Amino acid sequence: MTSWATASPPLAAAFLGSLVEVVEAFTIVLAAATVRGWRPAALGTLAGLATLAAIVAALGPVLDQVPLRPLRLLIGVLLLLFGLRWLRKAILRAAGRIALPDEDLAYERETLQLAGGTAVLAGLAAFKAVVLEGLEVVFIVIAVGAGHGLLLPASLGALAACALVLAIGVLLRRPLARVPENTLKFSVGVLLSAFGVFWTGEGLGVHWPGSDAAVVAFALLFLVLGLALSRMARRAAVTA
Amino acid sequence: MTTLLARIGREIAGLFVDDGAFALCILLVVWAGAVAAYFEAPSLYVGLLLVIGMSAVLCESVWRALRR
Repeated sequence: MTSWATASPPLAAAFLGSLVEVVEAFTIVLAAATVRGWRPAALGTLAGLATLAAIVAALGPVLDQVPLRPLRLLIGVLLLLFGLRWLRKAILRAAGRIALPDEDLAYERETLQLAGGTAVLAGLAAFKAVVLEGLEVVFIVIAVGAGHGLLLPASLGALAACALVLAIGVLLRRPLARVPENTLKFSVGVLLSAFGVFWTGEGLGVHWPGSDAAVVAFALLFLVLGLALSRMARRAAVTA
Repeated sequence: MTTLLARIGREIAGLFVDDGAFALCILLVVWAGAVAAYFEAPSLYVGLLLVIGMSAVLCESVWRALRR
């Protein structure tokens, strides 16, 4: 039986990471639906979800065949590349070095692009958005869950994010521009970097002091480091 | 379809790499850890190398971006 303490870090990481991606996908699906109606947008979304399900179904048995240590090392390295990249980007965005994501702007741009197109084009746009953003969700779920047999809580976290965005999006029928994407990316970057260090170490045969609890210590370290770097970057931006 | 597949391929690569030097530094730290583990360095040292190495890579990359 998986304890709540063990399951909550991957669940939280998958939930927050998926929230960011699902909001981005929702913006494009909404633009497609606004311009060409809900039917092509819904069909594109369903086709995208079916493609993602096929990818997950194909990957599952392959992952089962890979020995645990090399799998942990591979997942750890990918998590480090992915997580530290998000953390770095969030720090630079907070300092104004990179533009903040703007869902209203993305929605307007997508609506303009689809305005002259057909229903098929709108469906394809929804399909592409769901597949591309969904691939990131699939990666996050596998990366935080597969190394320790925690795919179920990680999947639940991702599904909860999808349900939340869909429920709010259907109610509001407008882009979810108020979601603090950069803060979410910062938090997910912290969590994924912590998991990345942990799994890479496990893959290299490191016996972490405190075992699984080491992830929490790494998360605190990256949180403090990330906040300090954000502060330093903002100061540098003001004095420049 | 080919364009879509190419875009998906680019997106997947882009998930992990957007600043080549940053990605390379991360891989170098992992490689150093692997070398240390291969030569049977104490487990804690390998772990410390990873933790300190990744923190240093992040600091250096942010610092480099700010100086641009």
